Amino acid sequence: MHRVTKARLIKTVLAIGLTAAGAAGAAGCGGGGGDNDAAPTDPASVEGTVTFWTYPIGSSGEDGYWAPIVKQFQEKYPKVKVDIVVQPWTKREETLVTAIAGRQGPDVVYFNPDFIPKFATERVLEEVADVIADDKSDFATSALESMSWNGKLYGVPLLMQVNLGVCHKDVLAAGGVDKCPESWSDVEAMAPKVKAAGYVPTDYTAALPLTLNHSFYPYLWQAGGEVLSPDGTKAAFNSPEGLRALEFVKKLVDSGWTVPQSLTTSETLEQSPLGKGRQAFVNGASNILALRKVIAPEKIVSAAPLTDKKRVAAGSVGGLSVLASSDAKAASKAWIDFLTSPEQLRQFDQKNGYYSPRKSVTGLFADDPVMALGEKYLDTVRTGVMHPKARELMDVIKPHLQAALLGKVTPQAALAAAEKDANDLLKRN
Amino acid sequence: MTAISRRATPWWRSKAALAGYVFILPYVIFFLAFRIVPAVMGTLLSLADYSLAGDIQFVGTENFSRLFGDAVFWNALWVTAYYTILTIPLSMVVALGMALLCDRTLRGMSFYRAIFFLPVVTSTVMSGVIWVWIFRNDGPLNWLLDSVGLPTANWLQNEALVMPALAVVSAWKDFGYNMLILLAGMLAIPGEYYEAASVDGAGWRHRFFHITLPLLRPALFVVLILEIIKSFQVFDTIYVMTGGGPVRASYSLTYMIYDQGFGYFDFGYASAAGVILLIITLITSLVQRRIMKRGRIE
Repeated sequence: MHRVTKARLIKTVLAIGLTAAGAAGAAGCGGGGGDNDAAPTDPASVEGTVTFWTYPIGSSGEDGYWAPIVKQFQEKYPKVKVDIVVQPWTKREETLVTAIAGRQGPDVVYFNPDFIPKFATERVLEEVADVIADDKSDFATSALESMSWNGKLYGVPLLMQVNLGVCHKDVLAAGGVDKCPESWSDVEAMAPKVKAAGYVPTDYTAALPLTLNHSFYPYLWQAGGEVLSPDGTKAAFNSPEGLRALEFVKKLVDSGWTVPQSLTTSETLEQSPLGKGRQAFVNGASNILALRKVIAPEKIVSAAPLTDKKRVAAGSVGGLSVLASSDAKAASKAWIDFLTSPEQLRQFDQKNGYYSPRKSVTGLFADDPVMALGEKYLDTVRTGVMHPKARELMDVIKPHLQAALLGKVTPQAALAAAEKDANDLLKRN
Repeated sequence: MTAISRRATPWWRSKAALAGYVFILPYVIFFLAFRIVPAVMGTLLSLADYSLAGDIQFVGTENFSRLFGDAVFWNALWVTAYYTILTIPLSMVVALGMALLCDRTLRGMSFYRAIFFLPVVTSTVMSGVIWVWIFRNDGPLNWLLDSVGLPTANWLQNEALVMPALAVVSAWKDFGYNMLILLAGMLAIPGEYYEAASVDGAGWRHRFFHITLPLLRPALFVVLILEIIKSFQVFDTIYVMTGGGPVRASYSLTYMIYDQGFGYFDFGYASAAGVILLIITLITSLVQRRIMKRGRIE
């Protein structure tokens, strides 16, 4: 009998592990660098299977939504098969990362701006400028910029989202307020009256898992501040504007104009004061159509995004990207070209409550003044910080902001500490 | 007596052993594929930088050096240890108490045992959401405290209270499972011991401390080991209830690994933190195993 010594066993295990790791690496090298299959010009010649990962965007996650669209596409591209996979929003990034790492990623995926620098830096995205080469000028520049990184377009915009101010008519009326706030001073005037009437004036959530793109950053931008220096190498939020923004938010919290538990936990819309019809104002509702499923539509009124020094709306852009590992790049680009064509895009955005990134597609909500207001403020939208470390940056800033809002430290101290941590992070390669 | 003329078949070549191997083969395959291989790969990855595109670059112990100089890591390690210290006694006392309550012949006891087991099979997300509601400033716990004249608290917003609050949730979630292990241990204790003790005039307390507790030691050790490992791996309850806050007061090591890996794509660094967690868990288990062995010999 052969005796297996400990040393021999360790050597064998390491050899197997290293071989597997090497094989994974070798397989991966093939995916990242990829050939740049151009957008197709002759539909009949394009073939392949496109796996499209989308999410329940508005009503698009419902059964039967995509079948007629795929059918229309296949009338033009008969040799292309499209597999629609509606993924849940929950653990969206983890699912995608795991799939990419396991070489099981989709061909086309729905992305938001936050994802672009991060995934582009990892070299897993295919450039898609050729898809819109003929009608690039029809897309809003801000939408294209938010789907680009280092001057390259990695996603074709499908929709734009503007977080308008939204008020509950009855709650405002109970406080004797006749106008939905459009500025910080309007909020300060409205809040005490609504609170005195026994309602919740507004909200601010500082729960750590949530993005700052829809909480602190809009206040910072409205105060005239910036998160990062123009070259993206240093933190810029520890400024008089940053302090003004944080002090304003702290005033909202300390005055009891928000619910205290939202400093640490996030609630579902249905469980929140807003969903229960007890909140007067929300600074930036991401989807009014979705809100109408919880609050009676006639109770909702929209308003311009808030302003202090600048009028800035939080928002987002949704776009379609091709993964570099796709073995059906031409077919994938054909699918993206089809979905972002003026006709399809109009249908998609109108049905799901979003705005069009195409200049030629307007008036989507002509009969709906509450929604129509959003089109007016498309150019005030800021989608976030375009940086590969945007999420890490948020994660180092958030605990400090939370500490200030919980009264553990002063706003000045919180911003200074956050600036130090952020700069340390940005320095690290 | 007849001398054995041929060499005895080695134990691992006997038919019975072969059948045994066949039976454990599926488990061994799954164990290797989903436990050992990932652990080995993770350890190798901790010595490298890995990009989503598939590139692997060997960086030696750089990830570990960075880890040891990272204040967030030390905080996460402390939070994990603190959580373990708080959770284990609470969890074990509750489980033992419930097992004692269930170790009696009462009408409908099976029903109660099943009810007590319910938290174990309740989804963590769902129970997290319920407990967030219970701990709310205007939630039922504060209402109860207020109605009996006790001070109320911001349970999930206070850095000092958030971990005890999470420990309570953990004890509630796990006691059913631990209770079953302890109950099985109690049922295995021969009834004659109690009868003899009763004849000698031993009261409930004496019977518990001199018969139940000593004979329950192996079961208690199993529960202890399971609870320690589970506590070191705590993630979902914290993810749902506090998101690691307030101010990272509940930011555990597994949460950090999750953020570094899936959030920041720093897979090598996340793996290094994972290796540290593996080492801690391994050492803890080995120490406990040794203590248990010594106890058996004694």
